Amino acid sequence: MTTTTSTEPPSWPSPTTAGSFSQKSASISRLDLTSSESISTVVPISSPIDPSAQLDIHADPTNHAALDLSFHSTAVNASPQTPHLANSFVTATTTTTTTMLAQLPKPINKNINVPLDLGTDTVHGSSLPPPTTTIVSALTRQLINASNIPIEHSLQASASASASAAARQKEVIQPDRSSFYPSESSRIFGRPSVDSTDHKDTHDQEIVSTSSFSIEDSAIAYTEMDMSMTSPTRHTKSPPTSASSSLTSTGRRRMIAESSMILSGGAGQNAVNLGSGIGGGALSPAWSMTSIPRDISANYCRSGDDSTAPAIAPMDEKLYGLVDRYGFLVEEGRTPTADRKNGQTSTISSSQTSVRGTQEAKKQAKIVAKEQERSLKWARMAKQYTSEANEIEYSFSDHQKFVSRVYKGIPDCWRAAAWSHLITKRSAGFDPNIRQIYHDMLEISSPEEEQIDLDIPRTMHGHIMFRTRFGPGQCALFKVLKAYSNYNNRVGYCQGMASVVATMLTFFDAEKTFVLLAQLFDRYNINELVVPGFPALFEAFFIQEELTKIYAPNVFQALETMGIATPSYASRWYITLYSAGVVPYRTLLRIWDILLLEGFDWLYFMALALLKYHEQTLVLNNFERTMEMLNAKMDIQDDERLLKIARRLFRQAKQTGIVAKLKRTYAAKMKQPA
Amino acid sequence: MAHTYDFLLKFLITGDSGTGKSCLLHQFVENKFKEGATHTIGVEFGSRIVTIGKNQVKLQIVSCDSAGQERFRSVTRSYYRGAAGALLVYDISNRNSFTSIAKWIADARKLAGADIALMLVGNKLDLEDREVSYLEASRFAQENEMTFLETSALTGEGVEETFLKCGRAILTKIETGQVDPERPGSGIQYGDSSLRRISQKSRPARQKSLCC
Repeated sequence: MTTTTSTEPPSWPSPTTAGSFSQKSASISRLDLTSSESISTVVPISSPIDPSAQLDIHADPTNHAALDLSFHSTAVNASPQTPHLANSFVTATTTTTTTMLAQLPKPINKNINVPLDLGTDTVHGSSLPPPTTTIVSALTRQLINASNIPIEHSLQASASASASAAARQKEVIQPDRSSFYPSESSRIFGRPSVDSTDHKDTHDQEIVSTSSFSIEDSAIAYTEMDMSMTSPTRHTKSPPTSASSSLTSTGRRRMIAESSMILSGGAGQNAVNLGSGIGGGALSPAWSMTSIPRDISANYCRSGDDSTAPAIAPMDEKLYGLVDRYGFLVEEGRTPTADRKNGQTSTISSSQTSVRGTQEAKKQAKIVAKEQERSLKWARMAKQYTSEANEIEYSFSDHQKFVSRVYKGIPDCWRAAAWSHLITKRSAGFDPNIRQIYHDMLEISSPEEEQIDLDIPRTMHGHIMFRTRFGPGQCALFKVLKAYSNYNNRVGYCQGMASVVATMLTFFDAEKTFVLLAQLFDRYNINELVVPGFPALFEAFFIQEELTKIYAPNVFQALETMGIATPSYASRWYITLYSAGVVPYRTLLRIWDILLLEGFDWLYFMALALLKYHEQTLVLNNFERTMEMLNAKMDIQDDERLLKIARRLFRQAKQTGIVAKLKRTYAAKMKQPA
Repeated sequence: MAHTYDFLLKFLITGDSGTGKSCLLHQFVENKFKEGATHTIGVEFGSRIVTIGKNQVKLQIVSCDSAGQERFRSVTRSYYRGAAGALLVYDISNRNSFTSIAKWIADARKLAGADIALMLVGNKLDLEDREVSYLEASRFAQENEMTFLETSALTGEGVEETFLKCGRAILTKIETGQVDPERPGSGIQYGDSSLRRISQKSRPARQKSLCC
């Protein structure tokens, strides 16, 4: 049960890797992460204002697509102490990498939705219209909202860069969120603090042309990159295949991985926003460990005090070359077949033939183009507003079009906005002080802390955000779970909630996650699922069995014959809302899209659909195979088919009102004395 | 082709949260440590055929991970029924997990019957900060008529032996007549090959309900 991260030795990239990678003229940004000294000085989480880090961003004027984001901590290039850095490419340590990778791409992701990918450049270039004013402004706001950059700066920057008059009109000064998280922006962009004590080596650096780096610059750089990415003319010089074919497999994998991170709707936003939950120790009393006497809490609430920061083993560089588009680590040499369909997976082994590569590229191009098209539709459908908590939110009409688009799958870049909308919509009249409650609840120690602490290291361990013990992801997870256990004493903490929260944390910051979690559990009846005694769980078993009898008699018969009782596999399905590795992550997101739209009843039909999807295996009556299949992560090759099954059954049931009938039957059954 | 076996024994792994139950199962079935384990809600399931004496024995193992949290015990209790043996796991570096073994013994004897073969397993032998001494645990096991072993699911030390010992104990109980494999819910079934041998016996029902 020991965590594996701590034992891995640092691994530096080979020069060939770096060389091949830097040659590329593809669409993605190049991340130069250089950190040669103690991590704690670089990691934003442990140090609100990073004393030694400098972020050097400059757009290459000759090639708009190439953008260097160099992150230096101390001596870099020709520094004799660090010969391995001579080629100035990537060296990074666990948390730095995690946070940097996750943080930097985020605004990009927000701004340009999907259009950046490998080998599919022409598709974007030609098919994507130049960003319309509304989209630019809407997305700029989203960027601002998500990254907590003082708004006036970013708007200015983006407006000037995109030279959009209309965007400039929208340059209203919004309430400055940075007052709530004063150090946020500086941490995000690694702005060096003036009183830095660790600048002794900066004069040695030949690279650093801009030793001081301001927020405006960064926003401009991002926007420029944005423009270059979306410009229809940018690929006229380089054919679409050149980028991928000229790369070694390693370089290519890196590229894919990085673009995956950028594309990922979740991971990016999240890590930036995580900052709001962690690190601002001096700002919010909730984070200061002095107010929380318990040891467990203290581990998760380190706030800015470097000396107490846990030793984080440097992460193997290859790790972040091996994450899929959602930030999950993929074992080397193994392409998750389940995730391949949706493209952007990170491992494409060199042994695969080029024919296959081209096909795959084409397939990816199609997927990306489609998602891009959808994103634009969503952008047109979205209405932006500022919530009471001064957050930029989006609302969508209840029109049938919206519903059918949710069923088709919310585009990754819109998922956070849409989920927030769906949950909030159901939560009219919900406690308006919920945000304050979150902070109050963090102050109280919870009897569940021990169990939460036990479960955190084994929650979504494969995700890059939650790998590091007491890292930012785990800290946020702890805080939300602890706050919720205090907030809702009846529920407390139930095993399984951790993965629900972790999934939400890949989209929202800790505070927002808590707010949405409270609403979700209350308004979707999920509290009854996890409260001791599990009333809704047992009801769900009953309903699922009855539904299986009606809609999938063969499956029901097979399960009966094998003597497999529903609780032996479905407990996990319901309690974790399918999030604890029941299905691939991308499938999970699709399931949640509809869950948030339709409500709890959807869960029954999902269970039914999963059984029906695997009907052919189930009817073989092989007890062991079935048990192993139902209790492991299910291999879902075809999301559409699975969701189609569920939707069809759900519609039928809606018409007949069968679920309500079964609920009444169950209630009557419960009333009878045993 | 499916392997044939003489007996099928149903095992249960239980114990406090985070003691390494599913890692033990994984180590035994797959012969490797389970990296990046998740806490399983519900049960985990695995099986393996081993040779005990002259018999090919299939061990069908259910690990009740979520039994670690109190509220799940109502759900997982049903798994005890139909188990021939149970491994009660504690973490040698966590005293609390050892203290609650008494509770797990009571549960097992009450729900599965007094005949269930119990093994006390001190897991995480690879850790250095031991809180429960071998002597103490061994004494405790003796008092409660259990076999005791220490294991490391990480290195695999003692894992195989634990399952084999438990299987052997059950086979001995069958031989001495202490346990009747024909009794429904005994957690023991004759396998395909023994069926052929013991033709005079009526064919036992195929796998009965594992739980509930």
